[in-house]
Amino acid sequence: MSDLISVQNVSFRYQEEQPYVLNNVSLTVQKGEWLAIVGHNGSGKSTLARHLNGLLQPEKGDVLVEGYNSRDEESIWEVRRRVGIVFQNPDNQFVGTSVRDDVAFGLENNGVPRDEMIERITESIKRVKMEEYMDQEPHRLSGGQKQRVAIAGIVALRPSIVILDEATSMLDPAGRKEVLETMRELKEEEGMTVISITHDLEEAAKADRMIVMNKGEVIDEGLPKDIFQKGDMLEEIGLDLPFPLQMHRALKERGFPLDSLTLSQEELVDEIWTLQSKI
Amino acid sequence: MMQNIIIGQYVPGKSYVHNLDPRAKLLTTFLFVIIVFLANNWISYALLGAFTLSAIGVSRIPIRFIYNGLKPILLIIILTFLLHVFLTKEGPLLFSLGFIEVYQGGVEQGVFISMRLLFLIMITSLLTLTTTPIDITVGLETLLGPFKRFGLPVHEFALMMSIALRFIPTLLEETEKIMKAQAARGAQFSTGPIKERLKSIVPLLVPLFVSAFKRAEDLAMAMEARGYRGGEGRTSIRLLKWDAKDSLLFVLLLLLTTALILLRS
Amino acid sequence: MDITIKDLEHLYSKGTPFERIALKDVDLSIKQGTFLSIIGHTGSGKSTLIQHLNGLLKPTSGSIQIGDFHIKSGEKEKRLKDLRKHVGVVFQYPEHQLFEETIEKDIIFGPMNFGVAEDEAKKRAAHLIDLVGLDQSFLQRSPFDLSGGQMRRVAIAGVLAMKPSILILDEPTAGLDPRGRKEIMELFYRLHNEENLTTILVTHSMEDAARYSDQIVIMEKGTVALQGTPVEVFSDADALTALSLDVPETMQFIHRLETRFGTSLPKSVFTLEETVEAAVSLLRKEERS
Repeated sequence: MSDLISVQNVSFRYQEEQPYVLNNVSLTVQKGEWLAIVGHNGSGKSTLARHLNGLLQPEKGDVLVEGYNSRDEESIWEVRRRVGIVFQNPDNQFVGTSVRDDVAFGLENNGVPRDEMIERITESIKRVKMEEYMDQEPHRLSGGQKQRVAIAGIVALRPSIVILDEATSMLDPAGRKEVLETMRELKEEEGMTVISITHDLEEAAKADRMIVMNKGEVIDEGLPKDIFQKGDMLEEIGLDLPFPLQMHRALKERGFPLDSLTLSQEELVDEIWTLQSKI
Repeated sequence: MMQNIIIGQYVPGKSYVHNLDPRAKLLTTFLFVIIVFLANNWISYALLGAFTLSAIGVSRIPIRFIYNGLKPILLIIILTFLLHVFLTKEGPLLFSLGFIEVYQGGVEQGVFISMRLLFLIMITSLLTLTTTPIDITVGLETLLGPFKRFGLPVHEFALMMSIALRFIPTLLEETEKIMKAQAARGAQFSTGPIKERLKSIVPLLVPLFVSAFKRAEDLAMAMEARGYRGGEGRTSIRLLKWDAKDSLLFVLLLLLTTALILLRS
Repeated sequence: MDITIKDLEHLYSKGTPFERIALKDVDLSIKQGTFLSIIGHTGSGKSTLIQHLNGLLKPTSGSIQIGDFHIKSGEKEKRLKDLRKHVGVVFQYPEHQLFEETIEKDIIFGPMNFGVAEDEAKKRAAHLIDLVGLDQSFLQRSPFDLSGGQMRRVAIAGVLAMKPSILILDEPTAGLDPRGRKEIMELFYRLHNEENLTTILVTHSMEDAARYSDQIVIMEKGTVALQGTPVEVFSDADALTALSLDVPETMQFIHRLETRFGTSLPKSVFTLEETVEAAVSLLRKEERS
């Protein structure tokens, strides 16, 4: 696997004299992975996301996207075309007066000829299963549908990476599921690289790799199952462990020697069953 | 209520008038507004009337929509008519009642001026009744395109219009929510003297502005993230198609203009 | 104040081509002091229902009785403002309602509208700012300099300052991070018990509904699809699945244990601790035998 994005010693603050929101952050993003960046509100994770497509530029350090430096004015549009962001508020990123117009917006910006535009719009709206809503106005769509349109708008630009910047936090459970399923399909079928910025550890548990942020710093990085071993650390920074992990830990504290860490209820029940038969 | 504001006055349909290129409609409406002033006798007004009525007929817009558009200015039309009837003293005296004297010229003038107003309003409403606001915007953007080189921010204006259209329903919904939240905290919006009422609107306006600014900030960020960098080098998904039916309308308008000029007395 | 809702129906845009049924045949009875959760998908009528409880919406037919207030279709309840004093509503994203220059002024806006003296209102503000987890120094600051989570707390204080006896919460924790969510819910639960409030919570979280409620109502397409105690509602897994709603994780887990061990466990298990106890009881039982 090769580095799609490489963040090197990035520090950033919104204003001088203010504390750093990002403090010497380094990380890489690999092609085809689902990377979850977790942290509580205000941990700097959204500021980091905005560095990954050049919306913000580091005060110190560099961000490289497929070799393009986000500081470079020449290549900034290359960076933005390669890295799409789905933002938190579904309403505030819907530019067009209809689904078709909204998906077209990014293509128009990039000067794509009209015939090709139509082709790409049809294709990407199909990808997110919104073809029935082609001419619908945004205020008639649910939050989840609007976020899917946002994804289509990005997909139409044929990017390498899609960032979900707390893109599900304002949605109801059904909408959340819709959006995550759509992204999962994109990853599996198209090999899209996904970075999901979230405070939902259950969502993060399904990622290939996890980065934990707190107070503007990367405090941990690794496979979800390894990171989840450090339940106390995660709770300390204000995150909620998935239920099976909480059960697992509580039972261990009560003196039951459960072995491996389990992320699903089924596995934990199996473990309890095995333990019981050993006793 | 929402419904009306969002789509403007647009009445969906598939008539000849609906299907015209918005540029054709904009240009001919503009031309019509000018040539209305050419008419100065009964025959030419009858001709304009026939054109207006047949345009409405062809559009298949129910007459009550046209009437709704006229309602607000009906009073003005009547007033103008009366003013002319009583104040213009030309031609033979028709009748007099004490100090009131009505001359033939006055009646003629009154009828002409009110018809002129009537036709103007009817034709311009027909434009908005048969064209969506977004089509009007796109039409204007293309028509004004040549003025870009004189520094007229045509693209920015069009984008602004379309974003405004996009966000009107969102902001209306928001207004309703904030009104309800403040009403639940005991605020009253509709009673008391004017001064009190103005004061009572502050709890509604401040949150609305705060939220609109937040939205604007988010939207600007999202647009930039999607590669927006001004109108330069941009393509457009909306394609306007000028074909025979649009040219036909133009020919019609030119004929009408010629007729009006010839009929001038 | 007890709440009795009879045959409530609400039509949006009545008498126009856009007419749509938002609520139909809703009958509910909520005793003073009850913690009631309303669950349902977006568009199921939950929000419409709660807006009837303080007269923001009027029934198109049917009636609502709250204490000695009557709300009926076609009739005007003249004491609407009086009613609103008793029924506090924390709307979704309540921070959007902040408008004053200082946090104190914003908190006293509600009580002062209802005729509470300024001194008394300020006293309440001083007390509440602590209660929602901020300190006195906040009172003179602008609400617009706060973080989203802090703004939410100030807005909540503004509703509590009215000292309502019925508190309606419309997804009060939406968009907060896990710690904020937990703190806010614990705050409401404590208040509910200390002040003997009637609390009506609209939520998507089965866990919160199970943990805090005495009574649960599940709405679907404008009608009440299920209602009962948490145990009653969440035991009916088939009905919930049919409505595409989830069973709380604790109960799912208990159910899995029961199936695996071929035994039965207590039903009212809504917290982690209780679930752990149940699992431990299984393991200990085996130890003894």
